[in-house]
Amino acid sequence: MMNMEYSDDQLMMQETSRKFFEREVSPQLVKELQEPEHSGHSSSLWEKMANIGWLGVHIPEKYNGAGGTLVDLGILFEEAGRVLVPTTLYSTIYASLLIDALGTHEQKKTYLSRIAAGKMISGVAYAEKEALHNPDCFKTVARKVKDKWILTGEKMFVQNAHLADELIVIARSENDDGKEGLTAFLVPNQAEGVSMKEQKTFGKDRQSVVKFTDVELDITHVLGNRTEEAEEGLAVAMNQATALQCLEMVGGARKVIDMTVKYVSERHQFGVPIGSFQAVQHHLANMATAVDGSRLLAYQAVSLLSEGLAAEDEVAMAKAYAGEAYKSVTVMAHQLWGGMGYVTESDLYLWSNRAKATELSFGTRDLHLKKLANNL
Amino acid sequence: MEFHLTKEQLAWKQEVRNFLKEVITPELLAEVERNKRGKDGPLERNYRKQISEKGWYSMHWPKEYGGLEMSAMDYLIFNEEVAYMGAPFISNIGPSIVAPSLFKFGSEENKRKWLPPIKNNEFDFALGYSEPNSGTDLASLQTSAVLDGDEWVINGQKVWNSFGHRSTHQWLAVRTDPSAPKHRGISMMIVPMDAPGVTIVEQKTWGGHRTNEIFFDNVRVPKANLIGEVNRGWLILTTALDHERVVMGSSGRTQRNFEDLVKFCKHTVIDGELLINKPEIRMKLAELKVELEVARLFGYRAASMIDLGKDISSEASMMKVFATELRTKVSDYGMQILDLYGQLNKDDDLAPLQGELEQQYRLAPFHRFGGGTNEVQRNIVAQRGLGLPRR
Ligand SMILES: Cc1cc2nc3c(=O)[nH]c(=O)nc-3n(C[C@H](O)[C@H](O)[C@H](O)COP(=O)(O)OP(=O)(O)OC[C@H]3O[C@@H](n4cnc5c(N)ncnc54)[C@H](O)[C@@H]3O)c2cc1C
Repeated sequence: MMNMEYSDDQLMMQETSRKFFEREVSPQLVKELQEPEHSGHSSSLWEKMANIGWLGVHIPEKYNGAGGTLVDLGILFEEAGRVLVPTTLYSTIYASLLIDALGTHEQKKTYLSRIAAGKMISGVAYAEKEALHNPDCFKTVARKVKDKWILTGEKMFVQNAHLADELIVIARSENDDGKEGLTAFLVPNQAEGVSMKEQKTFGKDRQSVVKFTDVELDITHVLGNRTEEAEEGLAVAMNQATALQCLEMVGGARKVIDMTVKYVSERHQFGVPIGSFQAVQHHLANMATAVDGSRLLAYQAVSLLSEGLAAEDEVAMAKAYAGEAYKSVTVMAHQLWGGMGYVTESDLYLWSNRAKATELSFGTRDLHLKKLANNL
Repeated sequence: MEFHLTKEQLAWKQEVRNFLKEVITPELLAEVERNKRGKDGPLERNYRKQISEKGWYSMHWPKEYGGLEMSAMDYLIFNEEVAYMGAPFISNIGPSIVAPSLFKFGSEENKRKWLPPIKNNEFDFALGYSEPNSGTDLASLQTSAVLDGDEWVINGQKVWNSFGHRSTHQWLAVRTDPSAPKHRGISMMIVPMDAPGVTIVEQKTWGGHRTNEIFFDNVRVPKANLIGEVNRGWLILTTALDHERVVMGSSGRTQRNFEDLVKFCKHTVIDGELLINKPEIRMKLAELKVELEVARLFGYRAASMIDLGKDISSEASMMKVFATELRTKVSDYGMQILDLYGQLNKDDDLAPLQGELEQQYRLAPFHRFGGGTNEVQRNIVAQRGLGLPRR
């Protein structure tokens, strides 16, 4: 039977995480962490999240996680999105999904346990200067020399590279038998030959160009010891991370609607709340409809993925729609707040920036529409 | 019907473009950027002096006031070129809001006193309309002016006062009769920013554009700083607002963004494909081209109607809504074409179009709710334009 409501446990997850985040992550903190003299990350928040078990919601119990589902993690993402939790959460969880999809038992034991315990920050190095979505165009390569891999190339838009303990780098590699494919490497930030430069983004989230100059890695740094190609696991983890991001976006958009409803109910012009004008009400009704639609698409995608289904179309629909919805909600919120929303002291712009940044990450609307069109 | 610019207009457009090419230097742009939140520097002052020496601040004024009496179309062409070329902003407040108000409503004394320094760009103005509780409902404004002997004494607060920190004067809407119905107790005054009792507090905005709160604490100005008749300010103010709409409806910058974007797509290979060859990008760019053409024609229509002496109120509103929403659309979709690169701002060497699209994306909301919100503009189109009943 169709049921789009949370279970009791999920409801509890939502309530506790909302309370926690609203208490711990104020717009003031978000702004402060975005200042250039900060790292964009809060270690005290990180520690608290680890202690509650939220960095390992989805990690199996045998690796010190809570053994929850992707839907549980999705709930956490939605609530995190409401308050604009720093992006180290998202990039590290993405890395954990990749480790889970590709890693050996030993690797999972080492790295997933560390992530669950809050002892590892990570991110995935994928895009390159001329290759944002098509790995066939990657120029980052790994060559096998005796029992070592030598990694060379440059990745861009690597989330939180400046803080990562280990990055997961997706590179083209040549097999012993000469076959080409993709391999995921766990690259310690401290490894010799790794250098990076922070990029300047309007969203003030931290992304870097990371350069690998003959970085030497042994087999333990090859995710899955390369017994299989990384393509399939990468697709799984990327789909999961995309769907989860849609929930982060839905959370942000819902928060903007809540704040806007409050604002237009309190702001008076012509002796009445501006929220009593039909023009204002219609805008808000459209915003709410777009966000409810996004939320259903996003939970559908996460829910199907958590059942182990591929859900390619569902993820593509969720991202194509949520990107437009979150962004439009912030654009219309500016319209409804007028001057008050435009001055930085109102904080509204923090969501506007995040909406645009998430729209651009994990593929824009066009990319996902194209995927859908190809599957028609 | 005639859809071409005349030979003279084309020559004028070229003249403006040539002039701007010559005066816009990297040093000038760098200085403007550096001083964005402070006073103007020597290069910017010199740039404006060159414009004023050409008589272009008053190009559209009648000859009797020392203007060049050029047409509204010529003025539009000038403004479009300035925006298209990315020239430092030339405030239109003195020459195109205050001066026309003086022509129409000012006393002879008003005109003698204020027109020459506006024409020579010695005075520039900020628009002192909005207050914390008076945005769309501007007529509810509370800043008061009380006559005390030969002086007006002003008390109150204005907000979102653009250029307040770098202009010499305030074009100020004040309440002079608190007991009259709200539209009938407002007057317009000119207040020097260096008058004792004026305090300026910076307000930072998402667009990076500085605006200000201005506090007036027993500020005294001569009686003669009142413009036109006392308590008749609402008429002056609304007449001037129609003008602002036409300016905000300019699409010169958006047109330039679009052209730069097309160029970028023709030269950039991502994921093994030249961007301009991607069908989804081609179709969307074509769609934007159609809308930019509509915006351009709306501009020409407004200017030609003014030149024919027609009332343009609902057409100006239509144009303002269309052009300001298109500004969002072009920058929004442009950033999507840039994909992950769309995130980079002008401080990053790899930012395509020097980060201009993300900057326009952040500036766009202000255009949609400023100068009379788009909701109000739509009401005007529906009620004044289509004659629909009012509630
Ligand atoms: C950067 C910046 C620069 C500015 N520069 C200046 C300046 O130099 N001088 C100046 O005087 N002002 C300036 N403004 C103020 C600007 O003109 C106002 O923001 C604008 O008039 C809207 O007023 P508000 O912000 O109070 O919005 P509100 O009036 O509170 O409106 C909020 C929302 O309610 C809607 N609404 C209100 N009334 C109605 C209605 N009757 N029917 C339907 N919808 C309605 C509006 O359309 C809008 O969507 C500036 C603002 C900014 C942000």
